[in-house]
Amino acid sequence: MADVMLDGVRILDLTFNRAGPSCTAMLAALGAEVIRTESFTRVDSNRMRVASLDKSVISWGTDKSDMEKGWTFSSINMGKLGIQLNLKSGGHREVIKRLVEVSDLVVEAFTPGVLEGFGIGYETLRQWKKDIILVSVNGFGKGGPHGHYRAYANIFAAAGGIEELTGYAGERPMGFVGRLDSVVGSFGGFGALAALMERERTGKGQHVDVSGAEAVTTLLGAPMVDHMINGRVAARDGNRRPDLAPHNCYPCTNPDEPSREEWVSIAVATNEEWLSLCIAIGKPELATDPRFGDLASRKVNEEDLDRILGDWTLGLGAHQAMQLLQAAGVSAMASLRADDLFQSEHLRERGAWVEYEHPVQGPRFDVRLPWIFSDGEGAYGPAPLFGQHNAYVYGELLGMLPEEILELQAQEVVY
Amino acid sequence: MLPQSLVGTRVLDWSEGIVGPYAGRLMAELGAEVIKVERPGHGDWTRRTPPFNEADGSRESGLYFYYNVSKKGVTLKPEAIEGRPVFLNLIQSADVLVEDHAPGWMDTVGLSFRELQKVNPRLVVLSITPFGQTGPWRDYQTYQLTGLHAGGEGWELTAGAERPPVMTGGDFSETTVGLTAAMGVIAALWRRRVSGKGNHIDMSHQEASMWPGRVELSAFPNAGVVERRRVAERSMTGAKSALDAWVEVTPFEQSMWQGLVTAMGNPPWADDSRFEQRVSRFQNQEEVNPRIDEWTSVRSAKEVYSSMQENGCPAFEVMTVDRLAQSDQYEARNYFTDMSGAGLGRFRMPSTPFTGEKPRYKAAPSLGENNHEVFLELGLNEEDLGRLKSIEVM
Repeated sequence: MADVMLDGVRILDLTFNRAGPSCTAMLAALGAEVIRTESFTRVDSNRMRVASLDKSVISWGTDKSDMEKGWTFSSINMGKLGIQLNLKSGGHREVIKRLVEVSDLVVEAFTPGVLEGFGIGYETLRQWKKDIILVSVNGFGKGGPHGHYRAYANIFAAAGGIEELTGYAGERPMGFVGRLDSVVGSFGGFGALAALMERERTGKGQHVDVSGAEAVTTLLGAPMVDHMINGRVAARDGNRRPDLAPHNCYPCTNPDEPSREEWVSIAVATNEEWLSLCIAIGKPELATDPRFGDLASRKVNEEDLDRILGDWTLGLGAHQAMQLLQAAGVSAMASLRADDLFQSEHLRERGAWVEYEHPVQGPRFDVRLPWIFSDGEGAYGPAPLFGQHNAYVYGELLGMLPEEILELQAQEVVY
Repeated sequence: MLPQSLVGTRVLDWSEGIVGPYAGRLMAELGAEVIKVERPGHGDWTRRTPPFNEADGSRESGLYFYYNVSKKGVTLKPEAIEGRPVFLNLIQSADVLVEDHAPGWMDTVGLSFRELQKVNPRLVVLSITPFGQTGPWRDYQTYQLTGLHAGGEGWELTAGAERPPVMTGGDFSETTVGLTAAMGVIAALWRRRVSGKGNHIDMSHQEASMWPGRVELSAFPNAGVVERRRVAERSMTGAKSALDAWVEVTPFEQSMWQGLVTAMGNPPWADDSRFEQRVSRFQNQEEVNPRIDEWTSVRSAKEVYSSMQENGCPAFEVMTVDRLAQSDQYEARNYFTDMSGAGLGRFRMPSTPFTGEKPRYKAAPSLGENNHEVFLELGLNEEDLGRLKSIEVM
């Protein structure tokens, strides 16, 4: 048996952009065979998302000869197979039928109604394969006055309530982008795994439909519960929390690279930790300063507290400050940037970065799955070139003859 | 509805706080029998964390309730000499153990994966730690804020170089890790069907937090870019002000931009050739954003997002918790479930984001609520329970 977790699972991936593809990327990394459909009628915008030469601007190109250079696309879609299939052609239905017949799962993230519009809604898929599992990830879920609304990461964030809670007090709320797509996609992935398990138990497939907005609200936790019990309407308040002080990010100066932007986060809950911190930073007098004697007084004098700590951190690099405080048992963490994480000795030792070869972009790095299993591995490989696996999927998997494939290409079904 | 894939599966939740317990709740929502294992007399520290019912003065925690709903609760000290055989007995009956002790601790008390496997070779153990079981940072301490910065999430929320990075609100940065934890368990149970073996899952909070941001993080080795979200500078994202709330408006694709222009009544400024394509709009965003702001600021949020959405442009109100509680959309989808806790009274609780029938939730357990049921079923008798209680092992 192959050593990957989802050995033998085949997934038809009809998703675009980031939320749906994040779901299927995780399933691909778990070892499922994920077949992604694309078409000239709708090229995934991330294929052409590149950085300017000086790295200052990230933007979308329009030149289709650039379709294999987008490193965003390449990361989002790592490990998947790619075929061309034009869902607007009409001739796609017969092809989808044949793909569904050999697949375990279909994943889509269209606005509700669009899949049915293509003639491949769940009821149809089920007629083609009784136990097929369909996973749908969308903004607001099927049904309700907003069920048909369109959404991306920042819309999930706004609609679900996390945007309102993030940012400085009294200021514009902080918007969210990419990461939130992945979080919503994860709920889809969770549903996919659960549905696969249930099919083992019952022999039945099902339609798993996830609302991105509700996913966000579910993950809010305390502020939503507080409102429901006490009627309180939580307001964003920067890095402040009522139960911890100090609790903030402080600016640092890297002695080797003073122009590098660095921050260290520090969180103190107990008086013992506060005492340890005072000693560690060489200011034991703060430990007896009545302004900071207990949590309540530290909260009252939090601005003074932040200023004092900020003055101290400014004289150190973020890693330096972190190590010093961690050695004293204080919870401090440099605000790790992409370069910090890539160069992290800790993560290297844990094999947290994986490397593979992309046919056009060359050696690629990405983040390993967030679990180390004692039994079973992940699977990492490049994102597909446009239509790269047409021959394998249509020819080998579906058993089509070359003439059939050529005919489909002529009809702009495989397009 | 949510697949009931874990009916017949017994999960032991020996974790505290938000991450592990939320993973346990998710598994309960899939039909698992989840038994929370807590320290006698003490319990999960979230039992003493707000929100409490302020009208009532009771000290039952809404936070504890939310993350431990539908679980059974037992008290036990598995690491005590007298507690260990009881725990191993429980392990024998279980499919999954979720634990979040400091790396190495389980080994020191004789409850390593190898030891547990001896009594139950099919056991899946999920071990959750801030930085994993191995590595030079394995003993680093974190709270929610510092955990957020360890995985690159904190860095993303910088609002310009002069301002400190601001944290994600609510419990969000921890619940997302709990979701990841639950996924790992199901993947291991899936593999077990074929392998017949258990699994030890080492989940580092840091790595779980890195995964959703991996596209931005891998931009460094792949393109030399240390990416950071500059909210105010990003074209078309970033909240706009409406009369009664903030709104997000995202004309991400060309057709959506055209929809936005139509919704705004085809203003003459939109004909400018600089705004025709996405790339040039991005480059000229200091001109575009204020125009949109001007239009939204004299309209209600609902008017803005409904006219945008009708024209195919993604848009929505930045929802506050009270607006969420009153949402017609959530009402139509039965998203909030009526619950009651002894001290909390009746309240509406977020259920799950999966369409269809919702789980039938049970109140979170009081401390040791199911001791009798669970331990008697394992073969202990009342005398045993009394004795173990008297030495504070149960």
